[in-house]
Amino acid sequence: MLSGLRALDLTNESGFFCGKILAEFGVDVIKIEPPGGEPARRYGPFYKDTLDLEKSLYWFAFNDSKKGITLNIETTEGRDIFRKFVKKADFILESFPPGYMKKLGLDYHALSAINPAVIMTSISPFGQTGPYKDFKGTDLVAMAMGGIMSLTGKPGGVPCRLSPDHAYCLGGANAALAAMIAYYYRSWSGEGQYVDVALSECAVRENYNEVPVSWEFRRYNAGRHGDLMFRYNVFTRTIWPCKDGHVTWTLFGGTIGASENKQLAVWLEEEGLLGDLKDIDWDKFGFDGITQDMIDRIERPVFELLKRHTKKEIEDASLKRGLRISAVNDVKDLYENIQLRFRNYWQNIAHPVLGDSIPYAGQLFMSTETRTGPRHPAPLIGEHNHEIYQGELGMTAESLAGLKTRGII
Amino acid sequence: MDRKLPFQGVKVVEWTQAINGPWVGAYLADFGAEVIKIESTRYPEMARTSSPYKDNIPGPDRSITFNTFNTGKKSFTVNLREPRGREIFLKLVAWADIVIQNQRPGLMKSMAFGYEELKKVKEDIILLEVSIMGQEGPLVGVGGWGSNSMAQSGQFYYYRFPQDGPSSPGFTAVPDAIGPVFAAMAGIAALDYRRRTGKGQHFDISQLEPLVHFLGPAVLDYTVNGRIQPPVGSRDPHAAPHNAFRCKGDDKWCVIAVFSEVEWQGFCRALGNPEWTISTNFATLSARKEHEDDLDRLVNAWTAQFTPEEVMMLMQQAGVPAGIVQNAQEIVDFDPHVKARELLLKMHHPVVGDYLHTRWPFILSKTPAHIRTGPLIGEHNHYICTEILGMSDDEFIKLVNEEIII
Repeated sequence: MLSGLRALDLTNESGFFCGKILAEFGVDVIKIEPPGGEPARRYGPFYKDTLDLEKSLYWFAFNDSKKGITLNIETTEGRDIFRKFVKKADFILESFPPGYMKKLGLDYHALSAINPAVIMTSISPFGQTGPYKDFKGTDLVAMAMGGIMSLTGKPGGVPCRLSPDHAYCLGGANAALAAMIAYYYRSWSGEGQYVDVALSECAVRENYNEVPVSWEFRRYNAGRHGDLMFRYNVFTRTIWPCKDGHVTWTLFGGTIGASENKQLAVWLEEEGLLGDLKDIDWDKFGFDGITQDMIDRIERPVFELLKRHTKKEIEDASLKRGLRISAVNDVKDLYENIQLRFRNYWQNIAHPVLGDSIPYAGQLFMSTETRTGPRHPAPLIGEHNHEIYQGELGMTAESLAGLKTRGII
Repeated sequence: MDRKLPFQGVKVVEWTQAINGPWVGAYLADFGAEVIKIESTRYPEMARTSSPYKDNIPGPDRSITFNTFNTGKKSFTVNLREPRGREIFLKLVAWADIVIQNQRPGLMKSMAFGYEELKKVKEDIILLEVSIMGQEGPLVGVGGWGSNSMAQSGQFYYYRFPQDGPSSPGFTAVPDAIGPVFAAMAGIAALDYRRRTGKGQHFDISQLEPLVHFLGPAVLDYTVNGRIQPPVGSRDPHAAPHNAFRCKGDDKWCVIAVFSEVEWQGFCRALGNPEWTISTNFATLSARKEHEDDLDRLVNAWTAQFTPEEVMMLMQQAGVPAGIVQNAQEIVDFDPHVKARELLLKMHHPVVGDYLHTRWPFILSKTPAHIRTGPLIGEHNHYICTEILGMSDDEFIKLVNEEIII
């Protein structure tokens, strides 16, 4: 959708996801790596477990659909070249410590003088201002400061971050959205601008239920409750063990839950587990004034029921009976998931250098006009140096070789 | 208009409920679009009937949650089941650039409000249909909540330490904070695409599909190497120590993340270089990973002497990434950085009164978000009928009396 636009991507792993999204939307994203390649190329897992800078699946996953060049922007010559790229760029993405770009003379003020229409997006742990701006932060630190970790894990146990790289992906997605909002403004005003994205703030926004709402109006810190959920008067179960793993289901009252609860009661009855739940009028069942004892009475037979069955059986029953129970998928389940298969989700991406074709996570959404999702593999180190430096900047092979010798590319 | 906003002049109609749908329109409204929210006083949308309420008294205008996701919108209560209500809705579609809906998949279509029907009244309409699993596919019937997409997308599988079962971040449906980001991007890119090509489009946006990308490396580890990556909790395969550590106080924790050799040296320095840090067991990252249980025990013994703030400061002074496992109270009342950056805005609502609202986690230098409180139910009925639909006051009153506007 966004073809004909160019982004210069200077980010590290905390910002890779932003450029990946823009690239999957059709933006021509040039990943600029330091000579020798991004440090994140050393992150595993690796293709066929072979430790190799060109085989990091971590790199593959977050840099697909980008082009790649090497450039040392810490040299004067490198910076001059970077400024040439800026003249024709629509987006600049960076995730250096705040102040680093300014030190190099490449801050928004300097770059907008070269190209007033450019949109520069900075992704950092805490943002460009404020008392913590120079603090070092990572995915884990953002999840902690944003409060999400205080909610996840066993009661009294070690706080658990969400999936690895969750805050980085969340931050990257928010950064891509912010860049697009700025781009839309530019499309009619002609003006570029500067965008400051803070990973810790993305985590706070994700923690929408507690901050500030719950604290302000309930004066309550939710805490960690493992596989249970605190409903402000009682606990209900969110994650249920089954025969071969876990499923998720949440008990609701009122009109939201009535028809589902009735269907569940039918299933319980068929399995001889309904017991005295048969006396409950589900149309009148609600959470007002409910006791934990009552919840336990309802959940105990459901617990027994789900334990008897596999994820697959439960998912089938769930569909047949109109229940909102879903399997907690591991990656294998995910890859085999019938919903994603139906939607032709997995996209085989050819890796000519590896002589292989690899299934990737596919479209970000479906559309009648356009297809998002990975277009081609992540770049090799300096894969597009020739195309960009010679083809676009018109350098000769000799001057390119010279840059290489001087450690610029 | 005294300030410039990116989407000024963009017109949006949404028929949404709860969080996933409304959150999309909130981005557009806060950055300048005119967003009309279709509602009903007979069947108030889910968020209007969700606690907490002002003074614990339920009421469609008293829900705090509703205000969180409907900033700056206009509320229009109209009965879509009535032919004249339908007609009004379609007139608004003809007026709009974007339509957003997150009703149960299939409902819009069954009411003859599918993409084809909307296209008939507005050829280049952009329709954003957002949902948990998508509009099409064998599991659409399960639908559900954010917890269902956390489960299906593989997220839940990783919300745990290896020895524990998965855990849930309570009431916070994480995908509700993620799906809408992608839906908003789709809408913006589609506006641009339409400007260049003249074409509208129809989006089917699930929470499931973008979320799978969050597990990118684990997915490729499976599709390439056939490996199901085990959960690691708060640890990380590329760092050690990397965990939450217990501090002084009741359920107080800090986090420390040591990736590089330089950070390891800084870490040891912050601890005063105790003897154990020079053990060969901890000399390299791979050694530290191998002896991570021992390492974490030693780190815990050290952090237990300090408050989380003290650990964060000691580590940061030594150049080591570290932070506090903050709870809601700490973020709202104490975090000096949150205060300095005004992450929490002071808002005023005619019924709720003063309350706080988390602004978007990005700041645009020239066009910062213009965040206003959510609408009262039906607040803009008269405005929408007379100013946008061009009715006379009499026509408007007739529609109210005949319960088309409800």
